Amino acid sequence: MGASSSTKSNLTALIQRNLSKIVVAPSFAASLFFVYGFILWTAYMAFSDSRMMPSYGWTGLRQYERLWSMERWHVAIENLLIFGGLFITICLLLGCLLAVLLDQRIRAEGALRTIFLYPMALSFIVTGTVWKWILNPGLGLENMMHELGWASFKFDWLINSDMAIYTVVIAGVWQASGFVMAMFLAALRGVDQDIIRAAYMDGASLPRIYFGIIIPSIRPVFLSAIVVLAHLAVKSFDLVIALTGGGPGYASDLPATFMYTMAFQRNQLGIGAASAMMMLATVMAIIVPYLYSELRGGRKNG
Amino acid sequence: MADLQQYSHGAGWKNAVLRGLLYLVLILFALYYLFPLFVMVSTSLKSLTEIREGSLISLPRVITFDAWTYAWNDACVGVTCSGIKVYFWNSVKMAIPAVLISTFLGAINGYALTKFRFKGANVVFALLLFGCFIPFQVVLLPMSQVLGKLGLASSTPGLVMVHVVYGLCFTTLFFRNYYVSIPDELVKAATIDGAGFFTIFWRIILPISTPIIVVSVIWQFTQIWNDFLFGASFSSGDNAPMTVALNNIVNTTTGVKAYNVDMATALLTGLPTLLVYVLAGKYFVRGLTAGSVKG
Amino acid sequence: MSSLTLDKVRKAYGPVEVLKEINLAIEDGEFLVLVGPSGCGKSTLLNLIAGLESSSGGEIRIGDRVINDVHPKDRNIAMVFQSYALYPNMTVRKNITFGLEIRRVSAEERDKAVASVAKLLQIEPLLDRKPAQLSGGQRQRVAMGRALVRNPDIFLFDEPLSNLDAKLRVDMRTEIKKLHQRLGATIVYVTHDQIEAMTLASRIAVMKDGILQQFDTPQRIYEHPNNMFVAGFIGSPSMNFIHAKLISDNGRLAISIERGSNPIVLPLKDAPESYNAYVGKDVVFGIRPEGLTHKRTGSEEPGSQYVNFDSKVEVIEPTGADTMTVIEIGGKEIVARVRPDRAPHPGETMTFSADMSQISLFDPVTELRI
Repeated sequence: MGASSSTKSNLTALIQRNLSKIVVAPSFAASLFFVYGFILWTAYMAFSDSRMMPSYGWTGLRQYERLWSMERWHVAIENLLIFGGLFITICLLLGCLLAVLLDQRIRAEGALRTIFLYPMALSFIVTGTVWKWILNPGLGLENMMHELGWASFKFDWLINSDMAIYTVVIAGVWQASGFVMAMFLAALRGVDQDIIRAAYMDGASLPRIYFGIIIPSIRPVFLSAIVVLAHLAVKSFDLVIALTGGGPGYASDLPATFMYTMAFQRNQLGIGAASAMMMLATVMAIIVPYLYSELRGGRKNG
Repeated sequence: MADLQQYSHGAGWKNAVLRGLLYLVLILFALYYLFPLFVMVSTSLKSLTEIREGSLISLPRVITFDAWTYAWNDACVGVTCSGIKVYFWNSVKMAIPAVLISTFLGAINGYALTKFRFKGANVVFALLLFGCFIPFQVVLLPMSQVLGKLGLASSTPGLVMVHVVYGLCFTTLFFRNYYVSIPDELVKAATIDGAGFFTIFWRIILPISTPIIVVSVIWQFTQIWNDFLFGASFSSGDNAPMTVALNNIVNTTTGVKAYNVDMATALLTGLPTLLVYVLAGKYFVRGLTAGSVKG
Repeated sequence: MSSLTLDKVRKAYGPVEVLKEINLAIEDGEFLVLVGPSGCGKSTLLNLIAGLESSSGGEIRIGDRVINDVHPKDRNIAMVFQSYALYPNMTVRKNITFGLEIRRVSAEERDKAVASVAKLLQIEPLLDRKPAQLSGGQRQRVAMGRALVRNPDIFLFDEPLSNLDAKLRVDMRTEIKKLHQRLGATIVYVTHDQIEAMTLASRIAVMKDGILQQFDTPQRIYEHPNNMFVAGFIGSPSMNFIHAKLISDNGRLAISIERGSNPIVLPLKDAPESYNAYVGKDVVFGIRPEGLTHKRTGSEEPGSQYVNFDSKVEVIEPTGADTMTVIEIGGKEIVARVRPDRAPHPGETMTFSADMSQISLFDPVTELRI
């Protein structure tokens, strides 16, 4: 630095001092282009008259108007609310219950944990495929119940436009609840044992200790789990495609499948872009406040 | 561990009943989670006739691997009927480079962002992190155009690039959080010992990063192997990854519905990630929670 | 080995000044201890000397060489860290030779250097272990070995003993002192423990809020603290501070401590000139616990350095060698150091002797020594 005389060694010193920035730069540039640039690009397309091919004639909010006037989009939104609401609630309840049950010094806890968690390793396409087979009215669950002697059992949700979206919930919960369980279990294990001992000395019963002390103290994990699940719900695409294909008709469409259909099958790039922007807005509404609080909290430690 | 058990010294029989109930509930749940896997395996080992006659939970009377060999060698994806082996290898060729590249970049980013902090490092990290949370639908349309311009449309290298770009934020997050817990003094000591940026990275930081490398590799591998959206959007025909091929086979409406082949294909698709999970899942959880390194 | 000079060294993070014009100079072979409460800037100062952070102003010299812009690796310094910072993936041997390897010292010489350092620190049996297999004390030795092997101009120690348990800490302290005496090395040592500072240092720099409070030999700092902060920080139990008035009692200066209708008056002995300006004014009277004892023999003779007074005893805290006796004077709890066989019971009234040759007076506003 101070001693360097020639320009060349100055340059080396400059590179040396900024190695850290230089190393991060490519990733940062890629992120700027592929994330932020693409978002802006999509945002622009949503204001354009793109149909089959991208075109950049400015049409203002025309695509959004068309989007919101489509019956199909409303179905997708409604489905997202049903699916998201049920998926998150059931996963939380089930995950929490399983975690508490597993937390009772269970023999073979490792094996059970593996069983509860393995669906998370599978692709949504695999999950969709197998549940589609299980739930198919002809040879699946319905048939099985008939064979078992329950002749009046009827389970045709998969092909029932009113119920199809609930099959997505069933498969989604099967896949993700184990993951929530793992999150909760880790949090339960992190609860200060002294507090529990103190509560026990005070004469609190076991359920009291769980509901009064342990579960409230792992509240942050609920938040994290909700954010992760909500995020999964909005992004859910593969599961619907594999399980119902969005059908019957478009009865089980979600915004994610709606966007894909518009953009890649219906040659409505503009509407596709507009719906993608709506999805982004939804996710941001959930994620940004969460990240903000997380990062602010993290700064105290770091 | 919330060892509440140690506190419950009440009536013995009451306790025993409660414990029995607890195990019963847990076993029922275990059956629920295992049921689809069981159905997949048993269906894939049955013949079509047996599937039509039997029930979902009946074990195969005659075990046959026909569905597996058919799925691997002859199943039709679209118009080509050469089995899913092509697509399996497509996925392998896509996943391995993408996992390695994104993990390496995540490691060096995390290292630079924590151990050689520069002004604005936090902002850069926050901006990178944001990429983890966007719904990918929002980048699909521009990406398909850019891939076309780069001549990478419908190609494995194109998919590798896509997965690296959108996996970066996760790998950077993993490594950054791991490296934050490694004492800065280690880097200071090495600096005084005369080691530079890359020497410290290769000789000191990377050798103690095994737990988080495992996390990053498992995460990226499952994400990339299981991906369907990018595969469906940016590949076509013979270039498609496994998940796309599976969906294609299952949702083909022509011909007789071969459930056993569907299930065999689904198992083949799920096998690599299941294997990784069963073999290394323990390290995944351990690595995610791994804190500071003693020393 | 070399001298070290800090000339008006400053450090600021943006508008926050963490070090304000630090001036320090030590000779070759001195043991400088930087001491102060956490956040006082002592570790930052050490990092500046090490080159791990760059100063915002001033000059740092080792010998005659200005090193402000010299990379840490070229400063010829070695550092021992609080967490030891041993490389977890390397054996002890590798840890010790890593710096030599980077500097391209031949394998042969490295082996020789390790052997001699290992012998010196008695860590020969540990050379092929990994840091995780070592105890705290052993890690500490290895960390020192890593510094010693380089044979640097200056050793820097950043709170090296604070992660050890109490007993080991005392042992290692002695060992560091021995090592210093044996090698004659120049050492800069950061600690928040004033006992470490007193026992190890040839000179102590007491810091607070980024300002150098006092820089002197341990004994001078103990006996003549510059201000109330230094007086309170060095010494354990701390110096007693009593709000009092400086009065002139028949032409002789005395300390008057309010106590209802019956104030305690302690005549001063050999009062310096500087006290005169404070006659009739409020002062803070500082006296160390060992300056307040049970009644001394000869304390009633005229011209004695001892002055006697009576006080009720509140609490006693035996430490074995002495019994700390808490009394209340001037609305404050005051600690006196009493021989165990003379120790009172709580609630008793007892006569104490104040050693007036060991007192300090401070200005109550500026808190500086008068």
